[in-house]
Amino acid sequence: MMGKGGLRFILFLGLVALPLMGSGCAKKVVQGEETAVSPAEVRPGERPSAGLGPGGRPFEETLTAEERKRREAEAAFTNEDIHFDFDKYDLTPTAREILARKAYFLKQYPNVKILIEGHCDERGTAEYNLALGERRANAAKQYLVQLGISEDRISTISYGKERPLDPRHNEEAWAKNRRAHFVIVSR
Amino acid sequence: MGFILILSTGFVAEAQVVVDIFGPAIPRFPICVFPFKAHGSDATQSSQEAMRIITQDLRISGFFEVLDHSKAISDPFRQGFEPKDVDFDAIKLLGADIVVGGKMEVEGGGLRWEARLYDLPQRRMVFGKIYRGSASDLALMVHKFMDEIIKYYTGEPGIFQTKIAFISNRSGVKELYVMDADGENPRQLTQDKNLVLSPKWSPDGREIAFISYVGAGAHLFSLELNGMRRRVISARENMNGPGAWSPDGKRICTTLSIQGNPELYLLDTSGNILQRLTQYPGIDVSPSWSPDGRSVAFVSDRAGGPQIFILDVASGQVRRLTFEGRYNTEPAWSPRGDRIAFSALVNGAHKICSIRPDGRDLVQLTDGPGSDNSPSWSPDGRYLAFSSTRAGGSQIFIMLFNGQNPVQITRMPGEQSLPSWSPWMTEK
Repeated sequence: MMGKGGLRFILFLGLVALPLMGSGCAKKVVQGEETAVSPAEVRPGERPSAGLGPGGRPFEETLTAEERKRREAEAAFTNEDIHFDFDKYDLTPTAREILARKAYFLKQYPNVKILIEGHCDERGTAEYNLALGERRANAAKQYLVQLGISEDRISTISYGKERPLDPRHNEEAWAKNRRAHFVIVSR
Repeated sequence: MGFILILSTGFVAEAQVVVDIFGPAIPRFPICVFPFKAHGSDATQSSQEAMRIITQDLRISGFFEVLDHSKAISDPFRQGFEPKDVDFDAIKLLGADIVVGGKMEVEGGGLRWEARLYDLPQRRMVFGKIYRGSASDLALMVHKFMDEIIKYYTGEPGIFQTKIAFISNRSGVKELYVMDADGENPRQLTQDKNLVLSPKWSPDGREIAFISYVGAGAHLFSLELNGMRRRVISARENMNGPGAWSPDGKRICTTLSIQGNPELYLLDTSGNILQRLTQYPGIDVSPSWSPDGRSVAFVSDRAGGPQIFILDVASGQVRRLTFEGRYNTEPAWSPRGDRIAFSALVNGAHKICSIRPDGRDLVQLTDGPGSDNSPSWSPDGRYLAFSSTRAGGSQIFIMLFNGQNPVQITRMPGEQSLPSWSPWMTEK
């Protein structure tokens, strides 16, 4: 089942991907290197077909350059999860880099409020995984707070092992599913 | 359901050997159930249904070996059901010590079921009962009869009038369900169309606490079964639950994450915080009370991976219970107080284990394929319900306290998990 975050993600992607493809750039880098989004990051199967607005007109016509840039940044923000080792909630160096980019975004857009979802792989037991997912979401939150983001802009929720991103039962899927996912709840 | 009439004819109050089912060898009484005599299609259908449930329940109980009635030389009840009329010779070679027979009748739109239990070696009727009720009460009638049989042979009534709450995703999402302890009458209790987890019965049997994601968060609710009224216990920021009722029903021990990490708290039943119980910047979750209400077993990663600890509520002192293995979770303290069941990761799969509260006598109770999870004790401490993937998708099983006689009790589509056994729902 797809949560609200997922729907929002597709919407952003729809707005972002068309201008990228339309301009013919294989890799367009928006201002502020740290919020770069490349088509390579668009996950297979989630590439939007609905890049057009009502009447077949592209959405981009209605967007200002500023707004377009913002939406790209938002898509990059929500598109990138951080990942954890099995049964761990400490942040890896990669996770810290990603969180630094997220903090940069949150500083650029100080009205944005976010929800961090903590998730686990299917191994382990339901209630312990609820707490583990909570701890993961909280580890991400605490790091953002350390980087200067106000605590009251960040809420957390744990889904434990209940919402795997990849339903397969192997190491690759488990690694993907041990994640904190970032959702923009207000702009 | 209507009243029960006790057929006193033939009842002889004799000194009787009651077996100790907690002894080293659990006895299995050979028993044979004959089809309940019925006329007409409705009565015949109910008779067959009663036969199905009683056979299933005898097997689930673990105390009986059910023998095939069709091997009898002839119908022992062709002359009637009074002990003088029963042809005990026709069944003496079956190998059964106990025989059940009787009749099913349709009466005034409902059912009248006469059920009798005979002792074959002594050639006497042990007891007989008449149950009246609607057709939908049939399982309940059989459960009452079953509990009488078990009380007669083991000295304590059976658990067939208790219930098991559990989580099923058969509707597409995980919702709260309840069923009879033998899997009959499964019923969906929530329609949250979101995630529902961790049902826990209140000790008076009137409420079930559970986690639901129905609003903007994961909150702890309680559902009153009489009237199906729901109330919020805790809807604080971050994590709320799972919650365990104290044995006196006055407090709920639960995990909250208001300080930024999951800690155990004591709430009153309205959800007000009475006390914070743990002080550790990691995971503290899955509380289970000792029956005396003095201690709480719970899971923490304070020793590295998840292990089970015991908290003394009055002093706040914590001691580690499990040392073997690297993933021990889901503690369930027996209502008898003498064992704590839990799930342990053994060779890559979870298995049900039990241990004494002093940390001695660790026993692995389940084995074989699949993962076994979430043990929950019956109110008499004789059985454990758990979920297992041994037969494919996750289903609920029950077994005896020592791991013997595991029986699958749900056969629903989807995944069935997180069973919580009710307390006694009737006077013992």
